[in-house]
Amino acid sequence: MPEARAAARTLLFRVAERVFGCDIDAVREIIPYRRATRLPGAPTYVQGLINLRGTIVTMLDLGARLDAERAPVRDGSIILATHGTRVVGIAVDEVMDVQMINEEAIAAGEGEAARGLVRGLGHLDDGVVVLVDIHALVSQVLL
Amino acid sequence: MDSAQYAELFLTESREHVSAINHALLDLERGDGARGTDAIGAIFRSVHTIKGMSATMGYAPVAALAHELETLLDMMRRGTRTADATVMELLFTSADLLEHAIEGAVQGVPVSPEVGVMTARLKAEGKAGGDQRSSVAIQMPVDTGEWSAPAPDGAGLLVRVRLVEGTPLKGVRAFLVVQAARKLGEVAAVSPPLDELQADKFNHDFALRLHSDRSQGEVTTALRNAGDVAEVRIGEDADVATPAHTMEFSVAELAQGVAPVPAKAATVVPQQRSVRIDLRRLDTLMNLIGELVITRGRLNSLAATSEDPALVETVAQASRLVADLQDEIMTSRMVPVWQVFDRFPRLVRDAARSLDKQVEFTVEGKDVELDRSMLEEVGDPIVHLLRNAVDHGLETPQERTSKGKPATGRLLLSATRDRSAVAIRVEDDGRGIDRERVLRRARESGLVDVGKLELSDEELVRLIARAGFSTAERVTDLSGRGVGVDAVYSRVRALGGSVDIRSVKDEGTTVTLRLPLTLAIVRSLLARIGGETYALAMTHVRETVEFRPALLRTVQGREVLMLRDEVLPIVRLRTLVEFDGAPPRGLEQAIIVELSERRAALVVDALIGQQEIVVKQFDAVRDARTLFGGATILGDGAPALIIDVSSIL
Repeated sequence: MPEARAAARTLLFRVAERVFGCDIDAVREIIPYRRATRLPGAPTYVQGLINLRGTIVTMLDLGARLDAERAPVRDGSIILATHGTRVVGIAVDEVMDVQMINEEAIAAGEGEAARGLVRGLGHLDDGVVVLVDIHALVSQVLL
Repeated sequence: MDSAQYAELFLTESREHVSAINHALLDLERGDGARGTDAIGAIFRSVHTIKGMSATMGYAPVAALAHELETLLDMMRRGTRTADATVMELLFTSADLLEHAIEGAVQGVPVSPEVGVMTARLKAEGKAGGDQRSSVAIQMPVDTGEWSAPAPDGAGLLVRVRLVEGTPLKGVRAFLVVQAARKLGEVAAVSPPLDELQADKFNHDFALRLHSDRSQGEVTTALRNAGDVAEVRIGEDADVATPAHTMEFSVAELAQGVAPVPAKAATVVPQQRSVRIDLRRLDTLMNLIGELVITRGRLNSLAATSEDPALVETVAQASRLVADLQDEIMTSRMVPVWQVFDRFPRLVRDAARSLDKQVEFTVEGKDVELDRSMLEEVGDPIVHLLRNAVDHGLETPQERTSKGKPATGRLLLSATRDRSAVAIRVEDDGRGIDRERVLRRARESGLVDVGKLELSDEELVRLIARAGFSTAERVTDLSGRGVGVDAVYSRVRALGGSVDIRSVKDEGTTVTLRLPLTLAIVRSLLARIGGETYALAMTHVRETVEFRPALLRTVQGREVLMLRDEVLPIVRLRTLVEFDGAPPRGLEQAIIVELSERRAALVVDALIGQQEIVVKQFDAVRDARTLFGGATILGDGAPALIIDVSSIL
């Protein structure tokens, strides 16, 4: 039996053809996509650095993080997520909606790349949403 | 003024007094008769002030400790106790605990039980010597609402001040008013005396004698602005004519700059005028000017394409004003290094004592100024170097004598400033860095060739600056294992500075830290690789040359650049930043970068030009190259990475 947890307000977004969700409390704001300055040597899923009103913010590509073969996001939106005192940008193709979603612990098998990043699944009327753990994502990338 | 501001004020003043106490204690310890007596007096005054202020603020543990300390000092002053080793130790420890109790009281955290223990111990000491002072219980005089303070004797303008009835912390308030008066001129006398005022031992009014070239209106305004002042009266009691509530009069007078000079004040030396500003305001100003400098860059590039002469002229003028403004703000943030250096004599003394070493510590260049944020950052690295010098550099007196050196080691801390940097030097005449041992350790850790027999100064620096590299055979509580020069090195590099070490066996070691004057704004050279822009601090750029094939040579299978008679290793930025676009068609440029004696030719596609940039930090990303010392925002709003020259040399 999958373990059921309390419903949480979840931000739904799309990367390629898949729908993801993350806890809305971790989201500070959403801005239109802008190109980042490449950060040499960083993993491919780090698009680089962007200027957020005078502050330098690191931007990640969630699609590339989960599947290294995927073409980078070059349009759409940037979700600015907070993790402790740090802010990280996450490039996504489309921000869709905010919904109350019941979360279920995920069964194994999401693949090697997703390990530690996906914290569960949520059910929508027309499908399943993968719930991403923003804090785990950020702490895997930043030192 | 709310209580948080009182606390802030209390903290600032108390810290100054603690610092003064520590200085005087050092004097007392090494001092002869007269100097010793002066020192005791100075300590007593500072302790007394702290007692008064802390009692006013309701910081009981501080006041209690200060009170008992005062008792002991009073006995010393009267000659019933001598400054023997036990007493000195008691005083030094008390000074530390006093500082601890002060910081704790202001932050609202419970003080260490040691404070209470020391208070009790001092009390016992005081009993043993017989406390002959009268009770210090603070007695509140009856408030009459009248002018009750006697006029102080002597010359100068008689100024009477009455505080608003029921003012909390009236002692602090009165002190502030007197401080305000001191900014206007010389305060000759205060009645009741200042220490009684600070201990709240007065009704709501007090009087002072002021020598000042300001008009009565100005004096009134300035004193009233200290806050909670009900009334200011100026002039001898007999001829008090104007109860000076008249702000309008004085403001108008100020605006006109009319300042009738009283005849007898003509010889008074003008006092420096200053105001206290919250540091956060200065930081905000600094950030704003940073943004403004970026905007100026953008405005300049827009104006460059304009054909409107009026616009071009206006932009040029705005540009100059921004530069002036930047200079002014930078200057206002500069603070003398003594603000941090002042705590070092005590630190060195404690370190030397705990290691049974004799050290003569000298500080030079205390008045050299550095940006406040830079100074705060550089304190820890200096502490590290001083401790290292006492612990590992200087030998024990026996060892020194056997080497034919004076038993007392010399330790010098100096600050000097040149055009764009401040050099901070820590110099000792100890045993020097043991190159043999460093080399042995390096060979063991595989950092150098097993066959290597000698180390140059530069190799030495590079080795001991490596994280975790330590040659200390025994671990003392002063310098822990594996944290040494490497910590200093990385900290200073993060600040945009450099570290230089010179060491001669048995003659001593000199470590020099070179620091930029400010952290925030740096003159930089912008260069391009493909469509990417990178910045380099101009302090590390010696010159730029066209990268002509005629200058290329191959030495031992490696490409080098021959510039005049110099052979420079070539570093290609394109390779360094893993840029995989096509190489440029035209001639590349070489930037000759240097850091102390190391040089290299950094090859880039093209130079964009020089610009002032604002250095911003960004979160470190796992696996990213450690090439960068931060990022900046260009005129078009995009971030650009700043190359840390020391990482490529």
